[in-house]
Amino acid sequence: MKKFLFIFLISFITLSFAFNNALYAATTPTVSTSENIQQKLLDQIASKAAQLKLTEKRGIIGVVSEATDTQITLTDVQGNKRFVDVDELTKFSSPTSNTFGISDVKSGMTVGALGLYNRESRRLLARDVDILTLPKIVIGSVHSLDNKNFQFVVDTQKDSVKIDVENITKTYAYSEGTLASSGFSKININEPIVVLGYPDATDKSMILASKVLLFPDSVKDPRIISAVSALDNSITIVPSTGSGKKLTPIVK
Amino acid sequence: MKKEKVILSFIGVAIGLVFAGIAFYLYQSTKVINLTQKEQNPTAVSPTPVLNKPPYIVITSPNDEQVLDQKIQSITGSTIPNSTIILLTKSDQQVLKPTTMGDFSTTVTLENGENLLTFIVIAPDGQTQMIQKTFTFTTEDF
Repeated sequence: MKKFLFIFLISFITLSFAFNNALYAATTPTVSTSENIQQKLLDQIASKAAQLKLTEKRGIIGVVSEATDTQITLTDVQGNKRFVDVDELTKFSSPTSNTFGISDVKSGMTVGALGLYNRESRRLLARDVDILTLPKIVIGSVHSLDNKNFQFVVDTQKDSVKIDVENITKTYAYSEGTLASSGFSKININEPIVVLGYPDATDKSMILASKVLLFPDSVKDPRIISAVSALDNSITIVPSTGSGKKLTPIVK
Repeated sequence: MKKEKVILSFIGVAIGLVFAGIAFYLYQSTKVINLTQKEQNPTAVSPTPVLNKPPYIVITSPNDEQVLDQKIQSITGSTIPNSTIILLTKSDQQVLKPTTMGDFSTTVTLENGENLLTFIVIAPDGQTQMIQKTFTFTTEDF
């Protein structure tokens, strides 16, 4: 009887193991070569998608603060520091030279860099680097006019800028909803004005205007405080004694 | 005996609290608060006029530094109503008026490569604000 029970137990255990193995083999698929390729492709697509999300095409403009053989550091138009990586595939172009390269990039130059921007490292791998000449924009109100030399002074929030009007200068006035051509004679003192131009080669403080936009219907920016020029004879300033009493000339 | 002790202690605590309350009230009533001139007359008019906040201008589309593959590009944004918007590109200038909600849209023709677009807003009170956005036109694939 004991022998019979022992045989029964052994056979039961063996059969159950065999049955389990058969069931596992039936449910687990065998990895074939085609499935391997499919898996690899899926991995590659996922990797590429992640890469595409991390990098994107971008174009930035800024002033060069530092340049080495592999990197250009820029200060962009918002005043942020930007890092541009340069490699053997980066193309350089300049309006003045056909053989422009990374060694010609100097501090103070304005450049436009187009390439792949990495969101994680916040660096741009440049594919094209162009040297740009951007105009200076002056926003303010007209302080004084020099009709003889076709020049005027614009007061801005920070300082005063001398503007020279040339033959090439295009002047427009925005009035009653239309932007129409205008001229130097239409410029009035205290009028809001926008000037686009480039610094004069001889007098860096003066701007040679390429475009002048007048806004006769708008009011002057209250943040602009016009200082009276000490050399301006058109305004009589009564000198003060310092004690609060004004000195006035005796007229007989 | 025990009960009496408990009642007496409660009465003692109550009397103590009453005396402490009276002392605190007297202390508070003797305090003198020195008000500054501004606190005494908060509606006093400042001698210098207070300026409104400078006008804002936001470009909603396209994004700054975006690379675009179409030369003619639609630009949308928002600013304060009743203001005047000036859009300056290298070769063109536009003056726009926003809707009553402050929204505006226009189209610009981009040049090859990087384009710096300048947006100037003149508020009804004369205050101005300028922003610059970089849009790049290229069909190059890299």
